[in-house]
Amino acid sequence: MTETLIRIENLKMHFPIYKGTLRRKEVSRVKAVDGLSFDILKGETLGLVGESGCGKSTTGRAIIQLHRPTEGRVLFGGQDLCTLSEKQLHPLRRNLQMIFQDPYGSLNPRMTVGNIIGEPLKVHNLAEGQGIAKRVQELMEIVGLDPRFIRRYPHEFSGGQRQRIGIARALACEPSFIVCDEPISALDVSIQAQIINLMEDLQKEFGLTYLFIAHDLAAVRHISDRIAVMYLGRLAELADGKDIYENPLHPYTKALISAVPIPDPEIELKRERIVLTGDVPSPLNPPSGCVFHTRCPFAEERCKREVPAIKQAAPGHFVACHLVEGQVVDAAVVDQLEKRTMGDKPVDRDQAVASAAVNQTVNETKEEAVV
Amino acid sequence: MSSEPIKDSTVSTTKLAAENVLEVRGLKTYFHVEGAVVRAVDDVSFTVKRGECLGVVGESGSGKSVSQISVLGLIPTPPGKIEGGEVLFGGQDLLKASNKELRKIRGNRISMIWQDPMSSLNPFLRVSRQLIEPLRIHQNMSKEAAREAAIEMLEKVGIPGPRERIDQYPHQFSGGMRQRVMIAMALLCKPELLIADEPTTALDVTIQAQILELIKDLREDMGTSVVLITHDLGVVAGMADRVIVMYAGRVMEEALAEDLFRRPGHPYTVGLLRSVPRLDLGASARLIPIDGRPPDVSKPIPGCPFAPRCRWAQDRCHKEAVPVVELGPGHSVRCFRANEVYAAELGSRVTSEQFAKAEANLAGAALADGYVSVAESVEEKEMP
Repeated sequence: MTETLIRIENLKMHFPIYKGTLRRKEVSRVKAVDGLSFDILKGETLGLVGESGCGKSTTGRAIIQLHRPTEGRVLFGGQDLCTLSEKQLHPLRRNLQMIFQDPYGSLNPRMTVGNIIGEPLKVHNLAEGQGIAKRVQELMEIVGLDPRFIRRYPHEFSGGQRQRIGIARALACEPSFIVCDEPISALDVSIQAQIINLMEDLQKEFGLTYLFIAHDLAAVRHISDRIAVMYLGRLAELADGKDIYENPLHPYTKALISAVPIPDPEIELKRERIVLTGDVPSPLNPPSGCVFHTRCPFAEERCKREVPAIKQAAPGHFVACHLVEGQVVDAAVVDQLEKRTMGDKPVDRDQAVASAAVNQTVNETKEEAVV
Repeated sequence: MSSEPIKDSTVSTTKLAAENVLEVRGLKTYFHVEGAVVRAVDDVSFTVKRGECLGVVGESGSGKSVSQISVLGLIPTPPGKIEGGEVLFGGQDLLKASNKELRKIRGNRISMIWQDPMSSLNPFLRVSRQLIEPLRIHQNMSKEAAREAAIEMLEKVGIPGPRERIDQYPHQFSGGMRQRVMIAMALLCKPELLIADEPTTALDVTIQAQILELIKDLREDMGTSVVLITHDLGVVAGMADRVIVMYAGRVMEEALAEDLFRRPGHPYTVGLLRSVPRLDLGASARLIPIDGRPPDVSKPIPGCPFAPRCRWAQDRCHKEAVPVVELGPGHSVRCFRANEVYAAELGSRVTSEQFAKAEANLAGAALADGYVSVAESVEEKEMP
């Protein structure tokens, strides 16, 4: 669990806006993603949450180079994907797959299920002739579709079944990493659980790594090992799923968690709710300093001026907020995490916390000594 | 939790004792499409009491929206047709009312908030014009008075700078603000009943929290009854006093919100509660999905429409008409085995182990009773 699969360094994805017909001039930029750094660990599910327009989908697409990032590095297997040409990228793409939100728009209505699932096999020359059909039927079996339906068209399937087709297609060339962009939000509640369980089973079976993008915090918490919270193109907080829920540090995370309704009237009655005022500002013209300061109930003067650095408040718990105490780490967030889990052997969590506490006391005594 | 009896508090009793604002009896709304009859709403009865919030829960295609739109007489005819039933509002049967009479009620005494504020506001008209219109028509106000009232209402729903913003167009508002405009429009004439059809589904969670808070406050403020249509059990838990659960055009369960979540009586409700991921439980509990998918309502369903997906279905569930079982004050369930499900206490607090145990017990009983396995009865293979 501790090996880094993909490292994202200072990822920026800006979309230029042009004006003028003859002399097109760049007038401004939508800063959809503005300086993200984190690691995706092998075999984990990293949840990426945020409100619409916060850049979470753009991040997913930029990582697998569906958008070519404006700046930054995406390191996968020792290579920086951003510097590779399309031709160089092609063989790598079989490792990087995607499951889309819309099970209607993401399947070609004129192709049969067999062709849809088999296409990646042809593109990457992984099978030929009868081999393709055999593999497709195998994949259909894996995702819980009847292999007899291989010649049917997408419109003959329900939403949940179409999502299974999309999943089978993503699995076709045995990828190591799948970006799941809101894979369940278009489905009915009773079907969502089927797809979530399927994705969990597949992960176990094939050792997949997921980047699970969704706005539904409850679903993300359920499926993810670690969760990254984004706001306006920046990272607000990144921590273990349990920590994010039980001990959120960023005011935005707190508000987000308190806003998610829980299906239990008694709990709902007792919960304290932080209702944020106002809307998410435009990424065209993001606020100065901390991008969240315009809606933050705890904002101070410096929040308007200074961009908060990323701090490590507890081992593996990263947060970008002036009001949170913690050790400032440089942009490469997970370097710290790596140190914690050095030598490939998983470090006991309690032990890590304890050693952090020891470090702290050591630091304190040092300071005293200086004084 | 098993030792704790269902609280039969005074609150619940008063909630049930209030007078009915709306009473729907045996409503049937069918759509005639390509030679088939889609029974979107099939014999639905419910009431809305004064000042309460009634949650209507269901998946898409369950008839939750159609049943409410039928109340307002807004079903497009053809293909839709109301085939039977009564909708009593203030002593008048709305199904028999003329269009002219209905127009006096819609937007005046009953208003509606739609899911998508962009497509329900006219993009070509300034917000001011859209807000002033209902006041001019229903309340005979002068233009100036109506404008003032509209500004006041915009302020009440939390739109900053209403005096300036009232003359803007809908596209100049953000999603959350547009929904506020919709709510302001719906409440202008101080309706007795507000029907909100998935009012927050298109919004982000933090904005959803704002809008729900607003609806709550306005409800307390103005004493309006609210029908909240949603697929989100969490929203219902926080908002509704009573809940009806719909499936395939029928009401499966009706109960006070606290009873429904604590001790549901219908396997479908149990299934819904178990299949949604919960923020407070996290990854600990594996989700228990409802197998299969909703039935095709264009074919007649003789028994229980949920039977093919039900873990507790018996032979009779597939064939015989299902009785409505009364489980307590205001708690009724349409299921043969309602008493058993209710006795198993499979509410939102039940742990996975308790659930598995109860399920094994019930399924065992079912097997002895001529149980039809789920896998056999589901036509297409859905699960791996």
